[in-house]
Amino acid sequence: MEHNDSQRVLILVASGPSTPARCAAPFHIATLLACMDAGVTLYLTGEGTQLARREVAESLRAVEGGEPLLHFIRNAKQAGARLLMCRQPGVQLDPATLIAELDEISSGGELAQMILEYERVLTL
Amino acid sequence: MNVHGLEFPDSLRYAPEHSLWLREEADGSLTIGLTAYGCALYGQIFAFTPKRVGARIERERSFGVVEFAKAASSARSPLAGELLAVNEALLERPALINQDCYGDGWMVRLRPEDWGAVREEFPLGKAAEAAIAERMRLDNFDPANAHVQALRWK
Repeated sequence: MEHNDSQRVLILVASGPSTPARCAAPFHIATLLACMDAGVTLYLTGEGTQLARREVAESLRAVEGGEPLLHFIRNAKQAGARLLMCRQPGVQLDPATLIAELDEISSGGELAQMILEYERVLTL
Repeated sequence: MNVHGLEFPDSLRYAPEHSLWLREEADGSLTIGLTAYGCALYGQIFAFTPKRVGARIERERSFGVVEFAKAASSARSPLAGELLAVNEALLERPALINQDCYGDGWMVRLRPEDWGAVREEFPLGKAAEAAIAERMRLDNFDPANAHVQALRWK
């Protein structure tokens, strides 16, 4: 009998508002992975950090007429994924402008540590 | 048995918390599928992706993923066991689950661990009615919604 132990998957979300068609996929994949009992962490980095801004998450759509990005983020969270965002040195963040679904603002060093520890790392 | 307009065959066992039915096979395995209530909750199913045959499924862990209109959900197993078979037909035609959830739309076959010890946790037919009705009540289930009507019209 094959044992199917839980795997940890780190998804680096580097896509942002300049490429809306690419923005929903990381969260949908995270939902499916979490539904298969993987431990999933989504890490917003680079332009992807913009997706944590509430005004962006509520308005950005991967396809015209589709659900806003926040819908996909909430699905991923509901399935059990963690959502982290890269702390950007020198950039002042007003927590009130960020989505409530964000679990943590994290450092680059913590990201490096996760890359070394996780079984799978995807960049989307 | 009929609960709020939805059919639940008397010959099957049920896991009401998971909206699943279980059928005991002669070889000791269990065939598992989504109940009509599960279909009503999900609506039109776009995909069912099971875990690989041979996988050991722990109790309350996923045996697959169900994708529907606006989201996806884990299909959690109400008991531990080994995945013996998956319904390959669903890969091409996932809508079979909606169309014939107690027949061609079965999902997986499992060899249960210690079935004798857990068997009575899954009431047979009419004995499951109260638990299914309670589940519906807790979910604020609306028998008038469109998905339920579609199931009634089949």
